[in-house]
Amino acid sequence: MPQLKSGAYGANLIASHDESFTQSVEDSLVLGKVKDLVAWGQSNSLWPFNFGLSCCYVEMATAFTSRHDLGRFGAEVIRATPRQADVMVISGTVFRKMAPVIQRLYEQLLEPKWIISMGSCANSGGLYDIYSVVQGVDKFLPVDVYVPGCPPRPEALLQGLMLLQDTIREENRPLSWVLGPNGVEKPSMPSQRDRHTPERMRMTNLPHPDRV
Amino acid sequence: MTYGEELIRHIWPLALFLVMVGGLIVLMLTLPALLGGKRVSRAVNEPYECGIVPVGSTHFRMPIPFYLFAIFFVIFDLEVVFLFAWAVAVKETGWLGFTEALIFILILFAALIYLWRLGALDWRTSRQKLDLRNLDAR
Amino acid sequence: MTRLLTQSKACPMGDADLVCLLQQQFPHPLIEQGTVDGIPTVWVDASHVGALLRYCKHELQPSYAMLYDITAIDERVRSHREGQPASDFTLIYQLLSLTGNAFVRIKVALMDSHLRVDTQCDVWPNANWYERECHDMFGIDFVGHPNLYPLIIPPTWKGHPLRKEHPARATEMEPFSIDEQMQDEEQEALRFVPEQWGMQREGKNTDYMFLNMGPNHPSVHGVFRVAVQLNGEEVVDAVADIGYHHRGAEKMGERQAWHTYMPYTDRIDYLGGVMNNLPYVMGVEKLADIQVSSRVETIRVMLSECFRIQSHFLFFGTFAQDIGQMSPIFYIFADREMLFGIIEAITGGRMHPSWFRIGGVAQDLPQGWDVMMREFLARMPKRLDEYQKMVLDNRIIKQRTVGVGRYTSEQAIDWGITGGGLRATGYDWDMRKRMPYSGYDNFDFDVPLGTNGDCYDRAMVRLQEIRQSLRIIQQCVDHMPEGPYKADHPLTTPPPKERTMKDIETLIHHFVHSSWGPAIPAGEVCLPIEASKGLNSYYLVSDGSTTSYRTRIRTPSFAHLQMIPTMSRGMMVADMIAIIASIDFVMADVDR
Repeated sequence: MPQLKSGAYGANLIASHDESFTQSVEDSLVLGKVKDLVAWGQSNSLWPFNFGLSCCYVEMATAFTSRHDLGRFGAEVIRATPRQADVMVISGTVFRKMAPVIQRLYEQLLEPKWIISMGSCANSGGLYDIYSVVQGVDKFLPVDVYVPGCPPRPEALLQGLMLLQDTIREENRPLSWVLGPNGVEKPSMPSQRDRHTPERMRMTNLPHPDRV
Repeated sequence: MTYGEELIRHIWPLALFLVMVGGLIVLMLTLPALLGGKRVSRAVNEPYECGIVPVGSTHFRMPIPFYLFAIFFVIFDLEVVFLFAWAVAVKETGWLGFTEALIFILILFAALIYLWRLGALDWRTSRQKLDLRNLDAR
Repeated sequence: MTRLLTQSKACPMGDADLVCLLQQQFPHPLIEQGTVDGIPTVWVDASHVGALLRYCKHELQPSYAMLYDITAIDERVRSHREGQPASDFTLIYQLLSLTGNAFVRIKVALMDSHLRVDTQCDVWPNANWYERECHDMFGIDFVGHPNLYPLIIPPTWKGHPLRKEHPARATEMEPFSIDEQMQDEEQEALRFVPEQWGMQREGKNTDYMFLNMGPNHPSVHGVFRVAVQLNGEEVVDAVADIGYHHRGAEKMGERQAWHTYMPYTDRIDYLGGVMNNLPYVMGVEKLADIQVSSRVETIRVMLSECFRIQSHFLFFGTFAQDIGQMSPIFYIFADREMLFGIIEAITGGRMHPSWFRIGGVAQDLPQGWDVMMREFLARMPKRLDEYQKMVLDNRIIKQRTVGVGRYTSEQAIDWGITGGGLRATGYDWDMRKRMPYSGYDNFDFDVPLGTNGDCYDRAMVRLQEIRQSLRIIQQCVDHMPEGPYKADHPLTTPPPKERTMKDIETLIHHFVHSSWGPAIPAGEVCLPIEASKGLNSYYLVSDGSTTSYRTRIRTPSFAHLQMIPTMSRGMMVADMIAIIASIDFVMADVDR
C-alpha cells in the first residue's frame, strides 16, 4: 500500500470532537504519490486476457467462478482481445506450433502488461520433455510470476495473482515517457519456497490418508 | 440594449460551452499520448485475428444484404427526423398537421410491408430457409 | 500364431469365425495374426487393402460400417514378431461393426523404400485426418488423398516424429528459441491459403472473407483453429486446423515405463481424469494376464462415472455460456467443486489423480467416503432439474440449437462419431452395454437417446447421461464389494508391500518393480472404453521390455472435429459457435 496518512475515518470523526484542527485534517486527507496511486489502481484491477492452452485453463476458469472468485481481487473482467487486457496467464503447455501465436499475442498486448506462468508445463515444460513442447514459456517471454502445480489449485493461482499485485505496487514505472527515463524497473522478489519453508517444516499435524 | 448586446447576452454561455468541449477533447487526445511508457513491438499495429496473420484485405465486395439494411435504416431514420420536426409543432398544426403526418407514416408503412413481404428483411441463409421449410413440413 | 488358410477349408465356427469367413470370400490371400485381446487381425497386401476394406464395409454381414482408427507401427527395431510378415512399417486399419459389436484389424506391410498406399477417403470420409496423421508421423504417402498437408505437427517441421530415429525428448534436440525471422516464417506458414483447400476467393457478386477462428478464441474451447470462408455472415466453407495441442503422448509412451506412463494418460482427456487411466490399465493387465478383484472393478467404475459427470457438467456449462447464458456455468462449477472435494478425498488429486495402477488402484478407499458420496447423490437430482429448466427449456436456447448442426445416424457412422454425438441421432450404441468391461454388466442403468441429432439433442443426451451416472454411483455406494485393492500377481505395480520384508524373492521383485518397472510380456492389445466423449482406446504393442513399443491412443474428439465443416456449411457464424459448443471435445483429446 502506498504511504497513506489516514486513520479510520468514521471512528475518529466521532471521537475527535476536542481534537485539534490538524488532527482532524489529517484524519480526512489521504496523501500519496501519483505513482503509488497509479500502481495501486493497476494492481487492484488487473484485467486478464482470455488465453488458455490446456488443462490449467480449466483450473483458471475454476478460479473465476463463484467458489474461488477472482473478482475479489479485481481481476474478473476477462477480455478476449489483447488490446484491452493487462495480464496474460499462460495456462497450460506451450506447444511449438503455438509458440509464434503466443509471441504475437504478447506483442499485441498493450503496456502495461504482465505474464503469469501457470502450471508446470508453462514453467519448464513440466512432465512433457518431448519434441513438440517448448520447455517453459520463459524461453521466449519475460515472466513475472511462476505458479507451480500440475495443475495448480485455483487457490495457488490466486496466491500467484496476489504476488503479482505486490510486484506491481513495488514497480517503478514511468508516468510519462516525456519525463524521466523509460523502461520499467521491476523489484526482485524472493522465492516463496525460501520464505515459507521454516513454517512448513514446523507442520506436524498431517491428514491421514485412510480417513476422509 | 442594442440587438448585438442582447445576442451576446444569450449566446455567451453556449460559446463558453463550445470552447470547453473543444478544450476537453484536445486534452483527452493529447494527454494519453504523453502518459505511460512507450514500447513499440512489431505486431501491435496489425489486426488481431486470434493470433495468426490475417488473410485478404479489408476492402472487398460485401454481400448486398448489408447494404440493403443500411439503406433501409437511413430511409426510416430520416422519416423519424421529419416526424421530430412535426412533433415539436404538433399543437400549432392541429388536426390538419396530424392528418398530413398520418398520411406520411402510412405511405412509409406500406413501403415497410412491401419490403417485409418481399423478403428483403430476411437475414437467414438459404440452408436455414430450407431447414425451416423441412421442419415445418414434418 | 498365424495361419495362412487356403480357400477350400471349411470354417470351424461357422459365421462367427470372421477370419475364416474372410478367407473364404475374399479372393486374395490373407494372413491371420493372433492378439491377446481377441480382435480378429488379418494381414493383406497393400494393393488389395482397398478391396478388403470395401468388402468389410459393404458386403460383409454384419457390416463393419465405421472406420475406427488408422495407425501405423515402425517395426524396424521390434524383436517379437513371430509369424508376422516382413514389414518396416505396418499400416493398421481398425474397423468397428456397430450391429455386430465387434472390431476387426486389417494390417498392411510396407517397406521403407516403398511407403505408399492408396487413400481410403472415398470409402470413409473420416479417413482424411487419420491418413494425414500417419503421413505426419511416419511419412507414409497416401496416393489420391485430396490434401496431405501437415495436420498435427507444424508445417515447417522436418522429420516424422513417430519413426524410431526421431528424437523423443526436447532436451535431445536443439534448445528452442524464437527470433523475429523465425516468428515471421512460422506465422507465414500458418497463414491460411484458400486455394490450397479448393476454395474460391470470390463468388459471383461478392468477395469472400476468410476469417481465423482461433487458436486463441473463447468459443473454440482450447487451441483449435477453424478458418472459415464467409459470404457476409454465411459460412460457405470451413477448414479445421489442429495440432496446436500436440504433446507427443504416443512417443512418450515409448520412453516411459509402463507404470510411469500413467500420468500422461490422465492428461489426454484432461476433463476425464482417472477415466483415462482405465483403457490403458486394462490393456496392460490383459497383456500381463492380471485379473483384478470385483472391488477394484467397482472402485474404477465409480470414479470413472464421477469423472463422466464432471466432464458432462463442464460441457453443459460452456454450451450454455457459448450460446449466451452466463449463469449456469457458475452454478455448475459449484457442483463440480463438491465433486472435486470427494475425488480429492479419495485419490488425493483434483483434475489429474493418476490413481489407477496396473493390477488395481493406488490405495484403498478411505473411511467416510460413502458419507460424502451419499451427500452428493442426495443433492444432485434437484440441481439437474434446475439446469434442465434453466437451459434446455429456455426458448432462446431452443431457437438457437434445435435443428442446428443436424446429422443422421448414417452420416455419424460414416464420420466415425461415437458417444453422445451418435446417441443423439437415436442410434442405441453404448460400449458399456454392448461390450461391457470392468464389471459394467453388473450395473442397472439406461442409455439416453436423442431423436434429431442436432445441438439440442446432444446437450440433452449428456444431461440425461449425468442422471444415469448418478444411478451407477448409487449402486456402487450401496453394493461396494469387499476385497483387496490390488491383485496378487507378480506384475502388479507397485507391488503390495505386505509380503516384501518377509522373503528375498518378493523383496527382489519389489525392488525391480519399483525401479525399472514391470516387463510386460510381448503382445498387442486394444481395449476400448466408453469415455465421456466417445470411444477411447489404447492400442498397446509390447516387445517384452519395460517400456511400451508402440502406444496408439485412439481418441473420440479427433473424429468429431472432422465433421465440423460438413455440419456448418450454409449456416451462420453464430450457428457454427453453437455447433462447436455442442460437440463436446477437448483439444488434448484431439491432438494428444
